[in-house]
Amino acid sequence: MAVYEKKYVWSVLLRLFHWAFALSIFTLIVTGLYINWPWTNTWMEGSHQFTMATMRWIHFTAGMIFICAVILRLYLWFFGNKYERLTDFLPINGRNVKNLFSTLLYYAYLTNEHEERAGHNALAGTAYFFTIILAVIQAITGLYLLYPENSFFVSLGSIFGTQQEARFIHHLINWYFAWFILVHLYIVVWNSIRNPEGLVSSIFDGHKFLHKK
Amino acid sequence: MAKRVVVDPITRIEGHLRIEVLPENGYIKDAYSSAQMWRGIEVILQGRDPEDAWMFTQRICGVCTTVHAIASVRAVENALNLEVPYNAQMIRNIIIAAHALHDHIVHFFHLSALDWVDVVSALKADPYKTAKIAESISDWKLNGAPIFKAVQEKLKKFVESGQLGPFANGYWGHPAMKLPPEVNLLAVTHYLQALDYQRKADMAIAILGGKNPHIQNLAVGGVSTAVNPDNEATLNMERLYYVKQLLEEVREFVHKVYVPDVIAISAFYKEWLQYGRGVDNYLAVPDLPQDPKGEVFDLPGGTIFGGDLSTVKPIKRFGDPYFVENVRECIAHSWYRGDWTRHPWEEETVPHYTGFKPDGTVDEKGKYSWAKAPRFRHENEYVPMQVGPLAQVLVGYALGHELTRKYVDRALSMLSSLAGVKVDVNALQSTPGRHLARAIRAQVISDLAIKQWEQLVDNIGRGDLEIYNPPSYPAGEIRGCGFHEAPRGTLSHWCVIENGRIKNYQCVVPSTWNVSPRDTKGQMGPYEASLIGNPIADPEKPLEVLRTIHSFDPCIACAVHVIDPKGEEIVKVKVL
Amino acid sequence: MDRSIFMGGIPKTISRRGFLRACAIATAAMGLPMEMVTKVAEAAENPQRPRVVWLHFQECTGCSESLLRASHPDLASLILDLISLDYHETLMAAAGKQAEENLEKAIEKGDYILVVEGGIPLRDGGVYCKIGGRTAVEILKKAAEKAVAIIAIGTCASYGGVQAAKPNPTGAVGVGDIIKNKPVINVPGCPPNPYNFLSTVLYYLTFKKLPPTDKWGRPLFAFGRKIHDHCERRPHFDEGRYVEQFGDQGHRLGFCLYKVGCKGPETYSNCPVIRFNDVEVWPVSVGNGCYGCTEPNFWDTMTPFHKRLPNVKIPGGKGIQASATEIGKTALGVTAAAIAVHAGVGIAKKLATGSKSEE
Repeated sequence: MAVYEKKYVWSVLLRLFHWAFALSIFTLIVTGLYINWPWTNTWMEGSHQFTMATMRWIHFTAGMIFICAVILRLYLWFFGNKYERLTDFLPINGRNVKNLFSTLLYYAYLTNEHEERAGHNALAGTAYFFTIILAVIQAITGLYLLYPENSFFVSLGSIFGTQQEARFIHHLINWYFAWFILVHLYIVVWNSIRNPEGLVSSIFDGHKFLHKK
Repeated sequence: MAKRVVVDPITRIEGHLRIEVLPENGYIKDAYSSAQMWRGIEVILQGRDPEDAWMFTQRICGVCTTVHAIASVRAVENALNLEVPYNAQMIRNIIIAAHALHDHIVHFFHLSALDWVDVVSALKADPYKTAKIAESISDWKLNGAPIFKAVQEKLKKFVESGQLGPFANGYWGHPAMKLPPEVNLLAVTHYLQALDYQRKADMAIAILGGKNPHIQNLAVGGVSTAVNPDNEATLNMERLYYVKQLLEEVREFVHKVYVPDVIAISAFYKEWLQYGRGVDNYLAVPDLPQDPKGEVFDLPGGTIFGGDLSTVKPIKRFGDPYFVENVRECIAHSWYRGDWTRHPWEEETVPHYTGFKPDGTVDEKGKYSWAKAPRFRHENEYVPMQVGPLAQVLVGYALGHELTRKYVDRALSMLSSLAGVKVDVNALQSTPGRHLARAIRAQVISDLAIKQWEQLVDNIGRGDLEIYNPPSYPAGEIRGCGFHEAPRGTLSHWCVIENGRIKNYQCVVPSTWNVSPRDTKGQMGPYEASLIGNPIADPEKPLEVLRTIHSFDPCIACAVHVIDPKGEEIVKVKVL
Repeated sequence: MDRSIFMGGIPKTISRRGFLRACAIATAAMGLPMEMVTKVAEAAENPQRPRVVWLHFQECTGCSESLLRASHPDLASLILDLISLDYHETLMAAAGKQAEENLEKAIEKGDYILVVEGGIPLRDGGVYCKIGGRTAVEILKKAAEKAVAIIAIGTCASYGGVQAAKPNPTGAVGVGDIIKNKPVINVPGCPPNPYNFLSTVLYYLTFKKLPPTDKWGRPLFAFGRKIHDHCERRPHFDEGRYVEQFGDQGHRLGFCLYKVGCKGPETYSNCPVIRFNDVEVWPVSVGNGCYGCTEPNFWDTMTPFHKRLPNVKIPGGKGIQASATEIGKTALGVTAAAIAVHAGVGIAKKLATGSKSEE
C-alpha cells in the first residue's frame, strides 16, 4: 500500500483568486459573446427589456471581479507561499525545464514517469503565467473600451491601438479564455483520474496528496 | 522641326493631364495626350470582401463621387447574378440622376464656360440689353436687368476694393473670345446662380445617401436607405418630398438656364461646329434600370461606328455579351510592363515608368501615359471609342429614344434659328456639340429624375418596402462586369471573385476611353484625334486646346484609377 | 456683406464658391498683366488676416469638395473676411510659375497656418507624388518649418487614408508621421465634415490658441466622444432592438445598426450631432451603419464594413481570411476533438495495460 502525505499547498487567497477568476471568466465569456453578437429576439417590443444594457452591466461587474482576481494573483506571484510564487513553476531552473518536457511527454502518453509536485508542474505553471499576462491585457483593453474618455485608460489602452483594434484584441483573448477553460478542465480531470495528488479537491480545500518518501 | 506646344497640366479638370501638340500653319497637326499619375487601387482591393469594394472605389475620385460606387456594386451583383429590389433601383437611379445634374452643371458653368466667356468684357455690357437677350431665349425667373446690373456692380466693386485674394487670371482678351459683352454678362450671372443649383442636387443625394461627397447607403444587393412611410427615422413623406422639391428646382434651372445658355453660346461660336470631331465611334451603356434584373432601361445604350447613326447597335441589359465580350485594354504606349491587349478580367497592373525624352517631349515610339488604351472589338479590329454625353445622346437619337429625340430636335431648331444656318444632328459631333449634348442629356435626366421619384413613391404606396437582397458567395471563381453611364461616359468595373474574396479588380473608366494614348496599331485616342485640325491662334495661349479638351469633361484621377496626387496643378505652357 | 443680390433679391446666401469665383473673376476683370497681379495681391493683403497655405498631395478632392458645401461660415467669408489664403492649388485660378513663387514667398514670410489635404507617399524616395519636380515629403517639410500651426484635413492627411490601406503600395503616411516637432491638428473623416475643419480654424483665430486634442491629434470639440454616445439610435442598442439585415422589420422601424456592422461604438466623431449637407442627415439616419472613417487605419480595421470586427489573416494561407468568431469556434471544436482523441487513447492504453495500474 502506498502511503500518502497530506500537504497544505494552496492558500485561502489563492483559492479565492481561483474561484473569482473562474466564475468571472465564465460570466465574461458568456456576456462578452452576447455583447459581440446579441442573438436574442431583437424586434420584440411592448414588454420591459433592457437586454444589452443588462448584459453589459453584468459584463462590467464581472470584469471588476476579474480585475481584482488578477491583481490578487499578481501579488501572490511575488508574496504568496512557496508554491504560489513564480519561481516555483516557471522553467527558469534545470529542475523545472526538465519537468516541462517530461510533463509534455507524459501528457502525450510517451512516458509513464510522473514527477509528483506539490505546486504546479512546469507546463501548467507556464500556461498559467501566459494566461495571467493575457488577463492583464484583457483588463487593460476592457477598461479602455469602458472608459474611452478617461485619459489614463486611453493612454494605457492605446498601446493596443485604436478602440477598434483594442476591441479586436479583447475579442480574440475572449476566445482564448473559452479555449483555456476547456483544456484546463480536461487536463485537471485527466490528472485526477491518473494520479493521486487530488488536483480537483485541492482547489477546494487547499490540500494535495503526495507519495510519502 | 516644328515647335511642340506642351500644356501641362490642363487645369480646371479633375487630376493631372498633359497635352502635347504639334502646330503647323496655325492648325494642330499631331497630338499626344498623357495622363500623369498612377496609384493603383486594384492592388489594395485584392483579397478583400467584394461587399467593401464600392467604398474603396468611390475614393478614386471626390468629384465623380457615387459613380464608382454604383459601378462597383453592379459588378459584384453581376458576378452573383443577384437581383436588386425595385425600390433600391429607384433610389440608386435618383442618386445617379441627381449626381449627373450636379456634375453637368458644374462642368459647363464652372469648369469650361470660362473658355468661351470673357469675363472682362462683361464689365462693358449694358444690363438692359442683357435682359432683352435673356428674355428672348428663356423665361427664367432670375433673369432681369436689376439682377444683371447688380452682378456687374458687384464685379466693379471687387475690382475697386482691392480685396482680390490670391487669384490670378486666365486667357482673357484672347482673340478667340467672340461673345458680345451682354452675353458675357448673362453667362457670368448664370455662373453665379449655378453654384446654388448644383448644391441643391447634392442635397437631394445626401437625403438618400447619408452624406455627400461619398454616399454611404449602398450594399451589394440593394441599398441601405430604410424605406417606411410610417416611421420617423426612415425615408418617409417629409424626406421624399424634400428630394422632389430639390429635383424640381434643379430641373427648372437645367431647362431654363443651362440648355438655353449652351445653345446661345454655341450659336456665337458656330464656326467651331466643324472642329473637334475626333474619334467618331461612340459607346454608351444603358442606365436607369427599371426592373430588378436590369433588362429594361430609361436611358438607352449602344454603339455607333464611323459617325454613322444608322450603324447603331443596342446594348440591352446588364452583362450583355455584346459589351462584356468586346472590351479590351492595350498598354503598348502606357507606363505598364508588357505590350499586350487584354480583356479586363485577364489584366495585371505592373507599373513601369519610362518618363519623357531628354528634351521633355513624348517618345512617339515608346510609352507616354499612365492611362491604358481601352478598345472595342468591331469587325475583328480593336477600335478606339468616344464615350460621354455625346455618345449617349447620339445612341439615344439613333435608337429613337423619345425624350432624347424631343430635346435634340428642339435644341437644334433653336440653334439653327439663332445661328442663322441649318444645323442637323451630325453637328453635335464637334467641340461645342459635346457641350450641347451634355446639356441635352441633363435635360433628359432632369425629367427622368422626377419619373424615378414618382415610380418610387408609387411602389412604396403599393406597400413594397423591400430594398435589399442579401448576397451569398459560392465557392470557386466567379466573374462580374458592372457598368454605369456616368456623367463622363461609360464606366465599367470588372471583378474576379474567388471563394468570396476579390482576386482581380479593374476599372475601365470614361476618361480612360477618351484620354487613351495610341494602341499597338498606333490608333489615336479621342482626345488626340479631336485636336487634329483645330485652329491654334497663339501657341503661347493655346486656348483652343483647352476648349476641345474641356468639352470632354476630363477626369484624370479616374482615368488612371488613382487617388489624385495633384501633380503640378499649375498651368505650364512651354514652347519647345 | 450682402450676397443676396446675385439671387435677384431673394434673401438667399450665394454659395461660398460663388464668392470665391467672383474673386477670381474680379482679378481677371482687371485685365492686368501678370506682374501687376502680384502688386495688386500685395496691396490687397490685409495684415490683420492670418495667412494660410494649403497643400494637396494624394487626395481625391473630396475634402475640398466637402468644404464647398458649407454654409456657416461659407468658404467665401472664411477666405475674404477671416483668413488670407496665400496658396491653394485648386482654388487659385492659374499662374504656373507665379503659383510656385507664391508658395516660396509665403514660406519665406513664415507665420502661416499650414493646411494639408491628402496622404504623403514615402516608398521609393517618395516618387509617387511629385509637384514641380519635388516630392510631397520635401515640400511638406519645407512648408512646415515656418508654419505656426498645421492642420491635416481628412483621414488621408491625418493618417495616410485609403492609399495607406494594406498593402500600402506607395508607403503613404499622414502629416503627423513626418512632422514631429510641431503640433499637428488632425481633422479626419472621409471626407471630413466641413464644419469640423472650419471650427478648428475659427477656434485658432478666435482664441489665438490651438484646440485641445485627443490621443490621435483630433480636436476634442469634434472628436471627444464616440458616435455611439450621441447616436439617436442608442436607446435601441441598450434595449436590445437591432437591425438584422437591411430592409428587415427592425430596419424599417429605425432600430440600432450594430449588427449590420455599425462602427459607432468605436468611432470618435460628432456626426450624429453636426450632421451633413444642411439636410439633417448622417449615414445612420438613413439606415446605414457608421464605417468609422475618422479613425486611423479604418480601411483595414473597420472592414468588412458590414461586419462587427475585422477578419483574421491566416498566416501562410495565401491571403485566406476568416472572422474572429469563426476562428474561435473552430479552435474550440478542434480542441474538443483533440481531447476526445486524447481521452480515447488514454482509455485504450489503460485497457491494454489494465492490470498494472491496479496495483
